Amino acid sequence: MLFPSIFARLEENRWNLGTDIRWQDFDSSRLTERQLHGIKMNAILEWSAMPTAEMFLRDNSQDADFSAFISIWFFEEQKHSLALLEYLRRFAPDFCPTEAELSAVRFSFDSAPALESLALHFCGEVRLNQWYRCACAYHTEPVIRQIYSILAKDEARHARAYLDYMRKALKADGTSASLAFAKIGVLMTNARLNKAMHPTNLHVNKALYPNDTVNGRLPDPEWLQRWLNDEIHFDGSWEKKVEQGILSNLSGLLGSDFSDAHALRTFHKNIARTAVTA
Amino acid sequence: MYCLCSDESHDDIMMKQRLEPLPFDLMISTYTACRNGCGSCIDELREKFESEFSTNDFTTNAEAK
Repeated sequence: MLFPSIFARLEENRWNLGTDIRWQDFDSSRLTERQLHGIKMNAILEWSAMPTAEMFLRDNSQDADFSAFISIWFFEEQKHSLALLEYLRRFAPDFCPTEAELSAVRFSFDSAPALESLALHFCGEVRLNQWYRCACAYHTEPVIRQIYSILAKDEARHARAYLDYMRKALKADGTSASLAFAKIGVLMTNARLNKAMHPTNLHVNKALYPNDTVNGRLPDPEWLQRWLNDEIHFDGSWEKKVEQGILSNLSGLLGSDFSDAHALRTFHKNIARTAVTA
Repeated sequence: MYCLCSDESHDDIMMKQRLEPLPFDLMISTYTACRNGCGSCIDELREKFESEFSTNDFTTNAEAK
C-alpha cells in the first residue's frame, strides 16, 4: 500500500494558507486587470478537481489504496482554488468568481479506463507544474508569485504520487498498464494538437457534448489559450520541459528510452501489435 | 527517474556527482533544485548516493576544494 508513505511525504511539505503566504507583501502597483482575470480563471480550473475526484472514486472503487490518496489530492487541489480565491477576496473582490461559476465546472464525467485516467492525470500534473512555474516567472506581484510557486511544487508532488501508482499498476497489470500509459503519453506529447494538452481540454461526457470540457465551461472559454500564448508566454522551451518530464519518467517506468515523442509512438505501436497477436 | 523541479534525470544528476563528488546535502543543493522544489526526489537520490558513495569517496574531494 502506497498511501501511508505518500501521505507522509505530502504532510511533511504541507503549507498553511493563513501563515505561509506572505499576504502583507502585496503590491497593487504590480498587477493588471488582465492578470486578475487569469487568477480568477485558474481558481475556477482548480475547482474542477471536484468532478475529477468524484470520477476517480467511482472508477477505482476496487482500489482502496488509490482512493485514499485521492482524498488528499482532492483536499490539496481545493486548497489551491481557495488560495487563489482568498487572493482575489483580499485584493480584488470584483474578480471573485460566483458560486454559480464554480459550480459550472462540476459536472459528471463518463466512466473512463482507470489506468488511462491515472496516466492522464500524471501528464496533467507535469504540465500544470510547468504552467505555474511559467506564471510565477511572468507575474511581478510578490504574493501571487509566491502562490504560483507553492502550487507548482504541490503539482510536482502530485505527479510523483501518480507515477508511484503507475509503477504499482505495472507490477499488477503488466502489458495492459504499459499499453494504457504509452497511449496516454503519446496523446499528451502530441505537438500537432492545437489545444493545450491537459485533461481540462478533453471531452468527458458524451451526453453534454460539445459542452463537456472543463475549459469550455469557464466564464471565458477562450481564456486558457490566450493566457498561455499571449500572457505568460508558455512557448516551445516550456513545452519542451513538459515533454521531457513526461517522456523521461515514462522511459524509467516502461524500461525503454524515449528520447522524443516519436520513440514513444513507436513503442506504443509495437506493444499494441504484440498485445493483439498474443 | 526524472526530477521535474530540476528539469533533469536522476542519472544526469548522479553523473554530475560522479564527476565532482560532494557530501549529500551539498550534492542536493548544488546539482538539483530539490531544496526549492517539491522535494519528492530527495529520498530516491539519497538511496542512489548511499549505494554509490562511501564517506571517503567525497570528503576527500570536497575537502581538497
